[in-house]
Amino acid sequence: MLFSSIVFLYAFLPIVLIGYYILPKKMRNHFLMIASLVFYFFGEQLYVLLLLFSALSDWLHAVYIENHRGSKGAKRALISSIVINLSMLGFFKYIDFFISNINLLVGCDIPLTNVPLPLGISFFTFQTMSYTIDVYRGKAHARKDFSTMLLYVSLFPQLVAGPIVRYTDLEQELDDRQCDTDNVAAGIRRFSVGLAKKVLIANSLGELCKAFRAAGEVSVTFYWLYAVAFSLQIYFDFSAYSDMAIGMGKMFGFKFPENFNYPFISKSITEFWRRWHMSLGSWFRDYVYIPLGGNRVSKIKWLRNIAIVWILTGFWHGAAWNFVLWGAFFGVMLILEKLFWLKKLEKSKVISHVYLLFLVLLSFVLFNADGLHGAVSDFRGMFGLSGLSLINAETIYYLKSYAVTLILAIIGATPLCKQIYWRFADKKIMVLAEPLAVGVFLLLATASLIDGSFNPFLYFRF
Amino acid sequence: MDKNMNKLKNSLIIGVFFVLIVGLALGQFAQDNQVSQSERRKLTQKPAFNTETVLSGEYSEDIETYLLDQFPAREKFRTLQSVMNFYIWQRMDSNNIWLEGDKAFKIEYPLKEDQVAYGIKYTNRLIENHLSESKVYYSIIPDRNYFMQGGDHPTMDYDRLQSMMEDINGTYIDIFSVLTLEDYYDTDAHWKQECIYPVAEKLGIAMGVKDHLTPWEDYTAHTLAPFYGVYMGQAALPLKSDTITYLTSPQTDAAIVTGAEFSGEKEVYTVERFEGLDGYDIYLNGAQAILNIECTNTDSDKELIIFRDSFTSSLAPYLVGAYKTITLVDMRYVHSSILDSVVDFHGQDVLFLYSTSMMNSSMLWK
Repeated sequence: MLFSSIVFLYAFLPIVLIGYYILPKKMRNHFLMIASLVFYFFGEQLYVLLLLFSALSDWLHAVYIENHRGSKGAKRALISSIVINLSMLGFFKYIDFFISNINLLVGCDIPLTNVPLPLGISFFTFQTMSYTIDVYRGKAHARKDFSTMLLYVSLFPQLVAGPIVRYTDLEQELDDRQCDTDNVAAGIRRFSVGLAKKVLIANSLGELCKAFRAAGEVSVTFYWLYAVAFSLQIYFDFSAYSDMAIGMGKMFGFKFPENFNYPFISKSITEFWRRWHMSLGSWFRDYVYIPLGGNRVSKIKWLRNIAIVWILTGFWHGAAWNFVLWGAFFGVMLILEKLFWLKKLEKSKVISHVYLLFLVLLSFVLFNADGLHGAVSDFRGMFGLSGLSLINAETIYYLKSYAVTLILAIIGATPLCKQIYWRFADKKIMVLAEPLAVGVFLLLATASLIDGSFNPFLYFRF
Repeated sequence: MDKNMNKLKNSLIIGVFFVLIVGLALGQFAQDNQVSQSERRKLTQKPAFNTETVLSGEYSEDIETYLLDQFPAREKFRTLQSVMNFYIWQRMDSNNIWLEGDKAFKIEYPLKEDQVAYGIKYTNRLIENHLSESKVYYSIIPDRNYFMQGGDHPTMDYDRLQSMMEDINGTYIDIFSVLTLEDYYDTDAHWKQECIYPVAEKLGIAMGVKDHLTPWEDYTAHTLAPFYGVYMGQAALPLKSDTITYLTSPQTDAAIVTGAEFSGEKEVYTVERFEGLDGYDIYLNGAQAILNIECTNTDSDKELIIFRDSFTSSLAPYLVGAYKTITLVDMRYVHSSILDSVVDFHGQDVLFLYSTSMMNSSMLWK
């Protein structure tokens, strides 16, 4: 069930919100857990059992670790938990990738499993792993009751597309949380902004990308237009989903971590990754990079650590070589920045922005390519190596047709709107303006959904 | 902002949000609509809710489509979206529909060469398998975008389409030159019957039956209004409606129409269908797999088979006097493997008459 779907907005959400608010506090966790399982079941009738297994497995492992703290058994339980989680991820997400590459390398013909990817598996396995690791490290206490553990794992606002919420972020709120008017209103505001970002901007940019792929004749400029549109689409798509998740979290009294902080205003790749998918970056930092030694090791090992983290980051995004290359590309750029030009970049605003945007556009073209051949073809098109004209009538048409969307998206990708909001936040007019904006966003998004517009969600494939 | 004002603001935010989501959620309990007049389609009805549909995931998939189709004030929301697209986002089209004054157009772009190549191969196979004794003619009806080439909106490569069509094993009759944009409805894809007599004449000359065509002055015009074309519903905006004109003659009055999908005989014009989903269905009873028109008021002994799409419905009445029988075949609804059992091929004249839009999606042919 997409957050930006009619069944979610006008059936699931009102029922769950009303049910949640009218129930006594002690019943709310159970209600939310059942609602979350229904939410997951709606999209994954069979894999809901996988979700239950994942939660049960880590709950048992964590309880064992807590009861045998400091012993070899605790370490073995931790390893067992990690192996189970990675095996689940490996089987359901990567098995066919491995099989097809083995077939290619060895020349054999092992049949593919064609096992469907369970929704959100990359997110919930990372959450359950972080829980068990944190219990092992003593940063968190193992939950004694399974139902609260299951609520943490299945909590529907963040279940299928993050942010990757660690147990330590929610430990207290799972037991006791405030759900006052301020929180609920802030949550609604955030949710509405996210919904508008997703439906009005990301979907619209998605249509432009689709039109590019379906166009009869493209041009070099159309390739670049596509690169800009897709980069903005994925940002608005994913950050909007995080906004909706964070907003709904607030409606239920939870405080989820932020996931995006205007990444396109960065001046380096290093800064970009501090602002893009922050919950994933910090997960890899705390559970892979630092345990490997981080930067407190020899230069060679440090470079190895960066390479491992970024290849894994790429691989996390998808079982295809272009994702691995995408991650490796960022790894290489981060190493180069750290070794050679990060300080220089920080000195020049214009050059550093141009540098960052150029590399990020290239990276997202690689990210969205149809395999490696597709990526090569896209890059050839972008750099005029495919014999295409610089610009043609189709390009001008789509440029004109999407100019307002693109301009708004570019402005929306900077903190300008936020700054304007804070400038007026204390004015009396906001008493009416904010509720009006919430209503307008909701109605416009609904109109767009009803008109049968394009409504995919990019990060579901991960 | 002081505390009280902030409290009021937050209460209003919560109030607006809940009124909308709960109000619209409750609105879904209203009685379901069966059809959407503006989109000319049946609306999805409530999916079956049982263990099988729920466990198979079928219910999850169908319920979203159902709610989208039965959403309260759905038409108003569609209009809001079109207004947004055209006037706020300044989009050049909304769901591929674009406007120029009171005329609505649908983008037909790009030329899908694989579809056209399929259509040509399919047509040649029909000619080879069934029409070896016939004189075969073919023609292409330009869609309205043909007349808007060079404007702001992308159009298919019509020259390329026509050059590809030269591979059909028949005699080509060019009708592009006798048509203008004004020969088509403003809100619909089709041409106007009252404007296409020159097309009938051109076909008549090429097929050697011009002298048998009913003279223009023998026709009587009848009008039906308002006619809301297919693009009007798709645009979801208030546009000026069209008027349908149908022309009767002693020949059309005497013609008998029979078909595989209905029992008994019908007239050339089924005026009662004007009030249905598509007013254009008054011509030859709308979309039909196979139709036979028997012309009782003609001295011609020639017979004609037309492989066609919906454009032919308004053209065929002009040919009624020129042929003793006319058989209309729409290959979207007839499988080519059963053609011999539903059409008696015995050397009749044959005309393949398709619109450019049809050729660009000819993989629909069975």
